[in-house]
Amino acid sequence: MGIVRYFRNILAGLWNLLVGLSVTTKYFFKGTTTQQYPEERLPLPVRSRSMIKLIYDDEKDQFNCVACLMCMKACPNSCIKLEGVRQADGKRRMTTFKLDFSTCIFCGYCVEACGFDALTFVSEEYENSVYKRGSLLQDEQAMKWVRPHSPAAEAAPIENTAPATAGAQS
Amino acid sequence: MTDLLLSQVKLSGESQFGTDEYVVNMGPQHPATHGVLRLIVKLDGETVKETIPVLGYLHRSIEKISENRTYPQCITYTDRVDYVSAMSVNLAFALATERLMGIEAPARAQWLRMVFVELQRLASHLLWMGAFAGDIGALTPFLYGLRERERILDLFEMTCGQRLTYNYIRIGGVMIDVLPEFVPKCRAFLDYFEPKIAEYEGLLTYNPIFLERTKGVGVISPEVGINAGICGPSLRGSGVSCDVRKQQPYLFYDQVKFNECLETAGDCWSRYKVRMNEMRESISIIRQSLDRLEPGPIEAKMPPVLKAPTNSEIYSRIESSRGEMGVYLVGDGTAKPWKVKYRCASFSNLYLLDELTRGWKVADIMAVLGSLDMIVPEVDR
Repeated sequence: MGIVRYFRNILAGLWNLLVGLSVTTKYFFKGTTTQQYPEERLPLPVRSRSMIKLIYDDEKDQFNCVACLMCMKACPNSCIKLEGVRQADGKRRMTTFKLDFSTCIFCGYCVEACGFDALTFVSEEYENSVYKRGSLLQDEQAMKWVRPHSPAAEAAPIENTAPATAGAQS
Repeated sequence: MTDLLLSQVKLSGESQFGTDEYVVNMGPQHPATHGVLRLIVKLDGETVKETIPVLGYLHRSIEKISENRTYPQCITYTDRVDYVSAMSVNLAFALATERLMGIEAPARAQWLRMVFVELQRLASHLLWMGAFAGDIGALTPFLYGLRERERILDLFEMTCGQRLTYNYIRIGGVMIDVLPEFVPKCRAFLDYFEPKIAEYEGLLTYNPIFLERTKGVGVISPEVGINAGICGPSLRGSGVSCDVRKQQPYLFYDQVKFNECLETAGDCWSRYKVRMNEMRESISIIRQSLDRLEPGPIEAKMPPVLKAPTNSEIYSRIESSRGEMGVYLVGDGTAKPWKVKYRCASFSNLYLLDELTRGWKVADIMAVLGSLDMIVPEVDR
């Protein structure tokens, strides 16, 4: 009785090893699933939250931002600092905009809170490593981004579908 | 000197050589603890006498920080509570807040939430399977598991733009509607993924080495499991029905057909089997949810600033990938929660580690720890 079970266990073990080996052997002859990253680059989806950019209107030669401070209030980590002035024509314009990417968590609340189409995510720039921590504090010139005039880019990465509730502080 | 040693040998009696307890620190930087968890292991030879988990290496006081954030802002922090299954924690917090404020999310948002939470369960279980098998010594399932998880993350990235910390499930709905090509892509993934589970099972389930390492190891009896507060797949491996999706249905879980996966042995192998079966059930739930997905709004009508009623409190629970995920909220009439408390499955599951590993070998600690599906940020928060 013990002998029979002994040999049956050996056979069952061998069989199940073969089952596992058949799976790995099958994939041994299939192509790779990985990409060789620095040489091969995958295009990221348009909605990808890779880098926050300030939209610059090159026709009017100014940023779209009017310094309404909604993004600043929506930010969970208070990493946005911005100031604005009221111009001679009565319209507010942003003068300084600073975003500290070392504390930014890319939650997207600032982009959603923006009602003036001034902030956007771009999916192309995803290699954001820097050598110095200070380089992560970006100002409006570093974040300047002109929307390319092509139909593909017309579809904004993330539309402003969310209402102003997104993170509005009391 | 020699005389002294000899006298000690004589004094030690029957075993001739006196043996001392040997204390080993496992972690906090240990490849098999899935994060910075430190285990103080007291050994007798290679036999474990006691295991003391030391927590707090990943403590970021998310609960305290949340008291200074508005309700929507807290959701960004829930991503970090359990980063392997962030959608579940997003959902737990969003549901608790909705119940606190009396908000009802529209039907399309609810179905979308179900699709994403179940996809997240698949991703989480895949990573768990890979890590568990890797702890035991089988590296191949880890690669296979991550290969399929990658496709799920691609679906997430296509929809909400992030791969790990989604911030997708919001109070009163979801962040953004899915793209039109999402549904066919998701169905194609499910068709691709379903036969893969059989492959993983072929690699692991009846593999003799895997069976040796997991069968009969770390047995949780139903009584001990219930008394210790174990939850989720770890308790279902002992044959106790504890699925919140069945017991207290949230979202539309009462409208879909699925089975609660149960095993009876309560050892590491049973917990493994429960999770593998759960993946099949998740596929079925996602398919049913995609069938029921109809056009409509994705966000409820809400006031611009969300405020909880004064002196209101709520405890709301969901079934996350790891077990029961509860959120306790106290509102004080302002836009910020007065108190936030997360009841995390990992923390309560870790409680039994000492009892389960006593008397086993050092290598079995990894099998038991892996089978409990513990994740350190959820323990420490």
